[in-house]
Amino acid sequence: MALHRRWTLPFWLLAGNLVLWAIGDTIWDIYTFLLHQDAPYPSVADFAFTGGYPLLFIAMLVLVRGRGRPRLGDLLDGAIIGGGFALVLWVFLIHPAVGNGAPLFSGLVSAMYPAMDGLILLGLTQLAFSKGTRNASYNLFFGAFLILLTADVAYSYLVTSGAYVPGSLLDAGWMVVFAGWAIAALHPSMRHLGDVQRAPTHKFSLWRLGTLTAALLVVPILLEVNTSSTLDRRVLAGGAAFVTLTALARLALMWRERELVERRLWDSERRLRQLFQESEEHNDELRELDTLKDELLALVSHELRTPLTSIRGYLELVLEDTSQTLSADHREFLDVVDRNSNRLLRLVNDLLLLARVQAGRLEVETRPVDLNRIAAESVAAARPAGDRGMVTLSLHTRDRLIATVDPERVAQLIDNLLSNAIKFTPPGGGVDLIVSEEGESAVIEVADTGMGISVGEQDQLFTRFFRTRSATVAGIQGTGLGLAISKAIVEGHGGEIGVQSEEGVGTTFRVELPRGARALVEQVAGAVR
Amino acid sequence: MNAVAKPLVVLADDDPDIRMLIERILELEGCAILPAGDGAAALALIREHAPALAIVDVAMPVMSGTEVATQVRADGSQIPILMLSARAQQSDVAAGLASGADVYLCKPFTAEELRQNVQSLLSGVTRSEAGS
Repeated sequence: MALHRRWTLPFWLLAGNLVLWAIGDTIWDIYTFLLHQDAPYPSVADFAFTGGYPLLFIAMLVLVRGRGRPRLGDLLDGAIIGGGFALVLWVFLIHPAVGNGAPLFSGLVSAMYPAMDGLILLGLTQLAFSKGTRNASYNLFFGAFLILLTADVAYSYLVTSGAYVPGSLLDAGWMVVFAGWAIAALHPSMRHLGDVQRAPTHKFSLWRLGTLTAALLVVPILLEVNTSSTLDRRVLAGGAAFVTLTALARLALMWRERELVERRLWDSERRLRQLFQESEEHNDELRELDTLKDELLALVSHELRTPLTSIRGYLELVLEDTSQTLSADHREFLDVVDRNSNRLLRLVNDLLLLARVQAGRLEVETRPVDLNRIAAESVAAARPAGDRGMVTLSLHTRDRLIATVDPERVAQLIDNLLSNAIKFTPPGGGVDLIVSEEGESAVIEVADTGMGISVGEQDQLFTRFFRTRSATVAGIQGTGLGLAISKAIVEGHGGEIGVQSEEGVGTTFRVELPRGARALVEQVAGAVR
Repeated sequence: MNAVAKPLVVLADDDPDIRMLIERILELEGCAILPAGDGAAALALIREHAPALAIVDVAMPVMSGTEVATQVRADGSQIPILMLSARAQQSDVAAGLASGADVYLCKPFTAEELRQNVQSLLSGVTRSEAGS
């Protein structure tokens, strides 16, 4: 399996380091276990040991770079922790090694070990702040380095204070480190070390503030713990200044980040408000257009009714004439004119009514009436159409059913539903009108054995001008206004209308009207005006 | 013909076709018609002749039907007024009746509706409203 070089390189570097350490260990072991004497100090072994650390550091940096570009904040975080730690190393390990009167060369070599540990810590902080995913391979890699650092520092401290015993528990630490690297290198999740997991944040988290505080407290604590008068004041002062300045820079960075976020928030809020306002304006425009359209519709309908008055009036005069001056043909032609002018009038009335519904001015004038009587009248009126279409009409009612409704509108509603049912029922079928009561509601049902309505079209059925596909295909006359008007009438009464249908089986429209209909109307107010 | 026995009807509508239609229907009913093409002319005719009935359209030039009815009632005249209009909204009907009309008839009306309303108004039976 070919892996990206970026993910294999760090582990090659670890291997290179292990080779150097193996050389150092071999030399050391020869002296300790074969020659039974201390290795000369400093020796080649020390160069092998310390020479491995830069390889480790490069491995860490390669890994860090692979996990996303480090940001200034991350580098500063690393510098603050590294600076504090370097001061501790200097006071406890480097200063004693260089300044205890030992020859300069061996002192420098001794100082190399803690210096290298500082390098490892720097790498660790960068790794900790990297953006990549925290998977098993990363955790093993990171953990191993942490143990290495702990073991190294403990070793250096024990050696400096002369308490180190070879073969102690401490030596197991390094073995754990090597095992950790090996498992990290072989673990399948190693391939995903570069997957970016989250964008780093620069929030004033408790953790960050804690780190900054700890770094700032390093120098005062060191001065308190280490009372040796040989400490170089200049190094301490420089270290303190460094930590303080980096901490301040970090704070400034966080502050800037915060302001950026705030400004972005403010910008998006303003943009949102602007969009909202634009859409409001747009809505107003649409509403205005809609009102204009309704007004136009009402005006046109009104203007159409005036000429219709003349057409129907004169036609009536002609047809009423019983003097037989009209030929049978002419009478038939005029009947066609009569039927069609009537149809035109109905259409105009429907449009006018719908325009009023849209303008929110459907007037419902309620009074207590017998619904069964209205139903019977509607059935009687629909009978001729039923006969023409060879559709059997039947009415199912019980005695009287008094409801407070607008009788004209309810008659119009039942007429609409019956006329639809008849239109969509093939010859030989039947249409049932059922009027019943259910609790406080009067229920009007119109059931046919017609072609039915597809589920997809049932939702749109009550939208004005909507016509089903099958109605258009079958060439059934209609304007798509009847059901919209029916719904408006039902809602004007505070009732509900619904449909149940199965294609090829039939359709049932069900209307529920509150019997004690509170008239939802401003018509009372309108009359007073 | 006995001109005195014929009830006098002032008829105001700006549409000459509708005027002629109503004239024809009412002449067959034995009425004498005084036609007017606008509200002001109608008001002048009513004031001059004190007819048995006034039929006024609502939407007319110069003076609307409702203004005519208001003026007639302001004069203290109680002659029956039949108001005609293509405006069929409840609020229009209410406004027409409030202005002083005895009957508000919506266009288009049938000849039969017109005859019935004219007859009942002439015979002194006033109804408040007729359906469209």
